[in-house]
Amino acid sequence: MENPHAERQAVLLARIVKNVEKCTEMFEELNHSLEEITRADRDVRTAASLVTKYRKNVQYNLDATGVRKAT
Amino acid sequence: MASTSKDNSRSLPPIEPLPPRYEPAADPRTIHVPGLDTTAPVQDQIEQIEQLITIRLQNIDANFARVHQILSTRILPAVRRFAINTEPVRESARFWVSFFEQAAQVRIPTTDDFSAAAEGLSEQTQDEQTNPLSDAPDRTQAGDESNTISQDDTQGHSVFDPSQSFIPLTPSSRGAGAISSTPMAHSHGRSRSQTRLEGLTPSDPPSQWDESAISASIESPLDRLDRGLRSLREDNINESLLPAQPSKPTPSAAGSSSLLQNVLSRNIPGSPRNRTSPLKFHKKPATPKHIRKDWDGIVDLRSPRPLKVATALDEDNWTDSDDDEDGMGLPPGMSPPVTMDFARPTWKATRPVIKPSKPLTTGIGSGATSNYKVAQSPRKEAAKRIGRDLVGAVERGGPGKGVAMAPSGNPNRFGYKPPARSNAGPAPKAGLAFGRQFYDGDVADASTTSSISVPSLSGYSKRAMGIESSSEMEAPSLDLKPPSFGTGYVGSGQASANESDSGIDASLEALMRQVGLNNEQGGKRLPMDDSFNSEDSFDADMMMDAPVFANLGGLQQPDDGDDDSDSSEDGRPPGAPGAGFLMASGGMEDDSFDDDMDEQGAFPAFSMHDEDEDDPTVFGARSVAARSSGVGAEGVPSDYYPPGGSQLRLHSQQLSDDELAENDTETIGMRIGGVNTLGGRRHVPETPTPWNGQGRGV
Repeated sequence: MENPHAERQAVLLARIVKNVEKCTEMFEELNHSLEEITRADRDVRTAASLVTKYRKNVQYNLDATGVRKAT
Repeated sequence: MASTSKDNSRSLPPIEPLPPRYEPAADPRTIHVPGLDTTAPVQDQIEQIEQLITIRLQNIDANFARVHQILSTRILPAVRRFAINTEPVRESARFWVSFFEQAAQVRIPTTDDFSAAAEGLSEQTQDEQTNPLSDAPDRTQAGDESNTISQDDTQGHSVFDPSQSFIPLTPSSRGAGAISSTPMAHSHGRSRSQTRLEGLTPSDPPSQWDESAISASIESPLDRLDRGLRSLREDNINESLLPAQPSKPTPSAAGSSSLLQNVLSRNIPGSPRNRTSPLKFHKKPATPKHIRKDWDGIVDLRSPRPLKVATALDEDNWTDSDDDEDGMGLPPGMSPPVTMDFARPTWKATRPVIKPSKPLTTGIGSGATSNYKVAQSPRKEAAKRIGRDLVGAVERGGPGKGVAMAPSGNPNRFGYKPPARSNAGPAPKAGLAFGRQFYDGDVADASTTSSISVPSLSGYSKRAMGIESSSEMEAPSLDLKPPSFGTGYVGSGQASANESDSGIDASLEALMRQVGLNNEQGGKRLPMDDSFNSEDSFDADMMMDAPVFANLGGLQQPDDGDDDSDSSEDGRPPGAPGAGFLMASGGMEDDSFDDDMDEQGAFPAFSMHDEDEDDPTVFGARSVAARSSGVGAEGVPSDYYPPGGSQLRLHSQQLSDDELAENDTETIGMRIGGVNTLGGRRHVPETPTPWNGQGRGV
């Protein structure tokens, strides 16, 4: 006679494995989505850096030309 | 934020602290199993342990199932929503990146670009980035930060630091430390070979700098564009896709091609790089096809070739929403679309007039007949009618005889019988179709009139004429009551008694009163033609002779007992148009009512005049000679003019429909004398005589 506990535990383990596989797929999908978002946000970061640098240069230019007193 | 987190925490159970990690004991005898009855026999303990294992596995299974459920039902959907909702932000960022690219004439790799660019690009790009920095140690911390930014690229690709493009690299600036904000300076400082610039240092004499880069950097963008456009005629577009020769970047060729690319690329619809506003991204932008796979990543920035760094099409890495053959978003052989500013009529440029809320087609002019066409412009007609009404009212004017409104079903009150309606269109509301009420005993007309609402005009007409109370006037009902024209023109305050507070232009009302004041002086005969008899549809030809003022026939309130309505009580002859009107008719050389409004008290709204006329008057364009010669309005029957009265002439025969339609709905809506001056050639008898039946089917 098989250990009834073993059977029960085997069934539970099977269920656990199945759930884990599902969770793994979900995490993979989540990671993929986040990766896409992050990759798309690079443009935002680039734009932010562009604007920041431009503003910095403009400020410097204005200060250097005396248009705007550097404070 | 804290409150939000608190709210979220309330909804979710608190996270239990993790239990200490199980460490297997080296000695089995020291293993402690919680929940195990150590006093029980061994077999029982084994059984208990097995049960504990089963329970633990069940818990594990439950936890994993819960994780899966939370992921699938809450986390992933939220992430997807986040991605979708942040898409506009990315679009905007992409737009600004393209904006800076075009401004700096450089190419900034974006997310899409990285998917297409070769990897060998990154190394060379990094070299390019470092060179300007090394060449400009005197730069501000912008340079340092640009390095930082370039290094921040976690993708592993060398990002062309956009900030580099703004680092002025003119030789003069380098040598003298001056700063130039011209972005092009940097672009010209780069080249594919980088042979000339890589070794340069700020201390290098300017002579070593690329002259073309210097000139290109300081030249006006317009000059570059002009040069490029000139070269566009010679250059082949396909050839321009080739990368610029690094050895000798000729401004004409390279600049032209780059400018061509710029011009053409700007015309790609929907492209974020070609949008003029970050808010306008409604379609997936058409990615250019010009990126080639073997692009070495070196951008020849000496020549203004902003975006065309590659020539071959990289179909795999680009998606083209435009599917254009030339890759420029245009069908082959098509020139770039040009936004054309189509000419618009400038008639109203200098003649601000009261603009009716609705076109004249639905206004007063339609009151004469129900056959008017909504699409037609009744200005001429309305002008003529108004003029005739005014003239007739002045001629017939008697004390206290204002413009009386014919009650419903009494079309002959003022001598007008609503013409048979054959082409009844949507009639204006009572306000606009005020004139209609005078002549149209047809209930249908009134009903149709009520369908179109120009409340302002109704209030204007009646109040101006001081005819009726506001309740009567404003109700878009079938109450066809002609206004007492005289009161409106009198301006003596009597009109105000009957006037309502409807939406009438105050200035116009004042002018109306002024005109009414002049009515006592004796009216000039307003030549009324038979334009009113014609079709009420606002055709151009019908408005030829239409006086400006609508319902001028109301002025022609008969001295007979027909005028039992609420005519003007001011003692002014009903036909008296008023001082302003008379002045406008007789003396106004300028048919701009607005101009004369303050001067002569003319009706400001009666600016239905024809630009083409050489002698515009209040009532329209009519030469002074014609006016003075006593020539009446065209088509005015000879018997129209009352005997013994000075002839008032309306010279508005040539009023344009456009003018009337645009501006004069309100004016036309002013039923001065209960006579529908609109509708073309209507024969207005000298008295509010019976309708001769030749109307336009009111």
